[in-house]
Amino acid sequence: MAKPQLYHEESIPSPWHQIWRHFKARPSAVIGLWGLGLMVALSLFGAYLAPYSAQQQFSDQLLAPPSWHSDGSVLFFLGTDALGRDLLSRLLHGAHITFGFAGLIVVLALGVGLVIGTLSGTSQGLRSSVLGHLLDALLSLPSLVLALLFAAVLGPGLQNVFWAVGLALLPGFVRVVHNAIHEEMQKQYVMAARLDGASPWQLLRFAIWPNITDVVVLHTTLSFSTAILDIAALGFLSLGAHAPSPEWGAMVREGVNNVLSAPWTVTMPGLAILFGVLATNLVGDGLRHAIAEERG
Amino acid sequence: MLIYLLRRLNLLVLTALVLLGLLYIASLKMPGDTLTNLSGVTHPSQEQVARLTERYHLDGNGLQGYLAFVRQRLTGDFGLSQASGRPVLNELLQVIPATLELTILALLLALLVGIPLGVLAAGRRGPLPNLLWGGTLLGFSVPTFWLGLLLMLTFGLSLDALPASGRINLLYDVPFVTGFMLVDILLSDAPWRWAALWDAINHLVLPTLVLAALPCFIVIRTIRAAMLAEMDKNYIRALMARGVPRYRLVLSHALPNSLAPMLRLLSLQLGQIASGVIIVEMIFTWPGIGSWLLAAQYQGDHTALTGGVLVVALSIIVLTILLEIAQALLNPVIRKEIHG
Repeated sequence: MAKPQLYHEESIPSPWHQIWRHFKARPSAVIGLWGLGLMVALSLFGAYLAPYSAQQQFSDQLLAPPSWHSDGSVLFFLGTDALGRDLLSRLLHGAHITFGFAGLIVVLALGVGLVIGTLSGTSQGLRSSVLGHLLDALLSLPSLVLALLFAAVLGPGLQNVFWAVGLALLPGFVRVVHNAIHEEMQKQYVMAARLDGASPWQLLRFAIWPNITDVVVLHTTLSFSTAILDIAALGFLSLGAHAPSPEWGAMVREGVNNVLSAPWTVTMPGLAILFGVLATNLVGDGLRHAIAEERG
Repeated sequence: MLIYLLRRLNLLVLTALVLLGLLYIASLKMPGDTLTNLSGVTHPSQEQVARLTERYHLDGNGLQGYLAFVRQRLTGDFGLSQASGRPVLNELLQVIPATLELTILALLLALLVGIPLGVLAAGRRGPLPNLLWGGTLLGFSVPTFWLGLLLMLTFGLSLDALPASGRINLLYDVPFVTGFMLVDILLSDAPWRWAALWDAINHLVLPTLVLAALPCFIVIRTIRAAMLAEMDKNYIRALMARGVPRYRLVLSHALPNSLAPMLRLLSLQLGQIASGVIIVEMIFTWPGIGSWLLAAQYQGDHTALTGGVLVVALSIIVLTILLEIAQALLNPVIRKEIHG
């Protein structure tokens, strides 16, 4: 029921509300959001939905084709791999490694990047320069090269992925936060708040942070898709998740040996990665447009 | 401008020192004998141990050790490869040209295809801009290794149209002069040189395509965004009002101005491109620095690994700073942002 309007009050939608309105108007963005939601749900509950465990082997069903193939069976919906493991179950079990792990890394990198970026963005001169450029050496190391180093020091495993991808993403966050804060600090409303006697913390909390959130959220979605691709690439090069692990990149690696006789062992995990990254990119793209429209 | 250059130089030196520090700490932490990891001598004799310990100041404190490490590496002594026993620097010089050849060709291809498509994508009429927009979004989401495998599977194996791995058919014995295969073939005066050239080009097609894909999509999107921003500006409207034809408006006014963000973007994407190079070299067994690094990793050759990582990271740092200076030369406004 519509609210009766008693007074001629003009309700001004909040910036977030406006961004959401623009976001909603793009079908591709909404599709992306649904896809992203689906992926999040699968990485949380995928293990419970999977018909079999990730390592269960059916020795009479080696390299069974997907169910729509004339030789396929619906019991193994996406077919099986060279060890007779059900691909669908493995994909569902692997969702939380490729997808969930990416989310965890991005959130942590966001937190640390926000702190360092704020410190360097609000300080000036030499201190800002040092803090801002401290991570440049890391920025020059791509995640793959970092992972090579970590794998040499720590031995292969998922902890490499964590450090390598996290450290590779961190400088980007620091830079984005630093630049955004630097830009906001020049504006008049910050000066007005300062003249009103706001302490540095209040200035940050009530004036600057709310106005850089959109940029930071946008960068987070972009980093998220980078993180998924990186984790899968590391799994593929066996620098990260290892062979029996149902990580999607590692699954592609395992499938390569049978790629001629059973192409689905390579295409299915690849399509899963593609779907996850595409959904994230659609959301990111929608956000970018919405922010651009909202800012005019 | 001089002050700007000095500051950049300062930054270069500091970043390089931080990088060397990280690598030094990593070599100390790596499993195995520290002396072996630093020098690459696998089973040193008594006097070798004494000599190397002195050279790397391992008996001194950490700072002395670090300074000795920096001195060794900067004078070009990268140690010996533990796997082959040859100096790491020589091995690097053997593999780097192959990587450069592939990367340069891929970047050229990305620019040649990306800039026109970016201009087309900035149009406002017809279905083409939307198609290109969706296409780039899809292209961004495809994992490089998967794309490489699919192309190799279809064109290399199923259709058998293009060679799936390596740099050249092993039948052709091309002497190593510059390390750039195409140049070397042209320099050699063998009778089969044109056949060899054709073969080498065939080998280049798939890796170059896969490597060029991501930079190309990035170029398209950047050019499109920059073009759209430029076309809204007042000078364009003024020109339009004077009746300048549209193609001249785009090609000789808007496009040059929207090329400026490209440099900045390229410098930010260098790391991504390097990651792509490693993956592509691994898939197509291209004998460049990427597959060399991966081999060093699988063999546990820590000396070669740190040496290779140092070279990759240093070249990225130097390129980033060169690109920044190029931007400052082109755009005076950036020079004022000294602290960046």
